[in-house]
Amino acid sequence: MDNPIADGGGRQLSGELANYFRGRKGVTITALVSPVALLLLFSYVVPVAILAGVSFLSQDARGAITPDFTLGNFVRFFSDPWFLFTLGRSIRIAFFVTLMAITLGYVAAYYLVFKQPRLFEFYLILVVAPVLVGNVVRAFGWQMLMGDSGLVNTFLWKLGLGEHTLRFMYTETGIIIADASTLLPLVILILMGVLTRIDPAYIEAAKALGASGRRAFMNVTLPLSLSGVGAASVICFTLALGTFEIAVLIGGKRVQMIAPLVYEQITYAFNWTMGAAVAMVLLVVSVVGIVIHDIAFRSKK
Amino acid sequence: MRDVVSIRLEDIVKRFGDVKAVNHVALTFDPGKLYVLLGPSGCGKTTTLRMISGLEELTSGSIYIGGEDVTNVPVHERDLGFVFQQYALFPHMSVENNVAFGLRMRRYPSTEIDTRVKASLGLVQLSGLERRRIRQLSGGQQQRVALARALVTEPRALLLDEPLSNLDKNLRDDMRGQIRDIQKRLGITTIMVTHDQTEALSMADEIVVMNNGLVEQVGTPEDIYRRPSSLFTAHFVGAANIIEGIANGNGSMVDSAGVNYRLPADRKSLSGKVAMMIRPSDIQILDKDLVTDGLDGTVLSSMYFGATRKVIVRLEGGRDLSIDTNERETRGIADGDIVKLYYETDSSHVIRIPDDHG
Ligand SMILES: Nc1ncnc2c1ncn2[C@@H]1O[C@H](COP(=O)(O)OP(=O)(O)OP(=O)(O)O)[C@@H](O)[C@H]1O
Ligand SMILES: [Mg+2]
Repeated sequence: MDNPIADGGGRQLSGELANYFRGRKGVTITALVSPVALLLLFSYVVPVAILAGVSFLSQDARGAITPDFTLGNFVRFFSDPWFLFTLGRSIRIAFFVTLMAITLGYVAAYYLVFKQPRLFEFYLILVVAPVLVGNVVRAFGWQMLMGDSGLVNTFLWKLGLGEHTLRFMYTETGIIIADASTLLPLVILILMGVLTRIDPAYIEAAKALGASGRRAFMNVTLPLSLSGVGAASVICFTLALGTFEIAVLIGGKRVQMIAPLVYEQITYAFNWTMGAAVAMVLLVVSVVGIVIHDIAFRSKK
Repeated sequence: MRDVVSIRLEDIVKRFGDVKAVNHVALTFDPGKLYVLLGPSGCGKTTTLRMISGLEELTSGSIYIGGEDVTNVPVHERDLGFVFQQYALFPHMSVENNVAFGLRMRRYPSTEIDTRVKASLGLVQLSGLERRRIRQLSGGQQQRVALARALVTEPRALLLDEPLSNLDKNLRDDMRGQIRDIQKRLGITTIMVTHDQTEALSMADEIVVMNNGLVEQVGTPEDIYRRPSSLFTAHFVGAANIIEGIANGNGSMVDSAGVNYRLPADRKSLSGKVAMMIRPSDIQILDKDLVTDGLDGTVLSSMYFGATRKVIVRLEGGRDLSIDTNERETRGIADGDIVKLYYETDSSHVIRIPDDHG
């Protein structure tokens, strides 16, 4: 127990000592962290700050940014049905991408970690290999496979099942499938880490106490992996919300998503301030996802 | 009331690749007794216990519990209590829910679960900690939760894998008593793994000494300590002075230095290669002027342990014997002292060494 009276006499001296050491420790840590901090500052904090600043400015008739503070861009965003619809669609797509990638990723990760297949290394290479292919190449791949005249539809047509049977290009479903496949390797790797960290003894203990494999999974493995699944979901959702190449190449003009919208505002409409405002909205939605995850899992820690 | 069952291992084998972890073990565990599997690291104790529990599949052989062949019965249907070395308490559940887990899996009604969990926590003296998280418990408390969790379903037998190895010494001594106490009170067939000989000697009804995937000897603690059947057991359980020699069939043996030793009464007729074991605590150090009988020697070194003193004496002929004495009896002993050693012939034990040995 602390005794405030007995402590009183030595407090000043120990306080000074503490400051001395704290100061020293601070210096060392600062020295170690500063390169990373600087990098983050100039590659991330500064651009975001500029973007945030610009989003509250407006442009004059000739397109030059004027230093007048305004909420106009945000008012326009939230009163324009098209912007709102696009945001809603992006959130919906990101939600389903997350659902799909996490579900499939969990099954794959569970299989790799707990069933210890004999070809483990081979499967791992299969998981990681797609990461080496860029998103643009991947989207073209999907196009060739699933496009209206792609392999699958041609095959179905040859079988006499009609023309353009599967609608993939320029559909939300197409984006969701392509995007989930893009994020799947990442999700599998994250979830493998999560599942590997679960001591197999917990599962054995559950079985020794009378739980069948299914009940051991439901009562022990799943709950123990849940916070990791939450973290993977947030990462997946955030990345899916920012989907760009796949949205452009598979969604095209027909299925507009929010990240290409930012790009179009800036590049085609030369509306810098509006583009910045849309980007800020995107950022806020992502942060909300992180905060929700944090609240959901903090109470359990 | 729970059944009190026997467990029988019929020639069980477990191979991991090229490693024969358990190599043709046959054992019967009688109902209601506490057995300790004792042996050095890697000798197959855990593997044996896991095969009994069903957590590990057998390479060959069969296991019977209460007369029923359970070799192909999965873990969750064997109805055994298992306490893991690291306890494996579920970190996402309270103490209460950990203990209730086995009952929930057996779909007990919730009122019965409540009473049983209470009784079980009472048994291990943890009443009042129901709502704690596992992380908020000390090592000893976690150990007892693990025990309560394993016992609450009234399993047919209790299996413990080094249950005390993560506790500090005082707590370990205390828990030894508690586990033994509970085991006796419930009269449950229990198999415990340890590599700590003191633990084995103090807790077991019977000790199974294992080495290299094989059973070396099965017997009461006294059997194992006093009458080891092999040099391995003699060395592994307790400290031992081992003197190898040739027995001549007329009640004595001669060691390589030509010194004669009398054989204990029950081994007088032995002949051939033998090893004599004398426990360090069975040898007395006497003043050379007081006795004429006994072995002559010189004190080489001594080490003080408080209640006891360990003395190394070099015999004429160059053999060193280690002796544990009451510290009072050897007060003032100094290196270089000339002494007489005395032990009762019948406190020694002779092990026959097979001819193909070495
Ligand atoms: N899952 C496994 N895969 C491969 N080898 C194993 C496995 N489990 C145990 N072994 C090997 O089997 C042998 C016996 O192991 P076991 O765990 O039964 O020993 P132990 O007597 O319990 O030892 P300790 O006192 O160190 O716990 C060892 O050589 C060990 O390396
Ligand atoms: Mg072990």
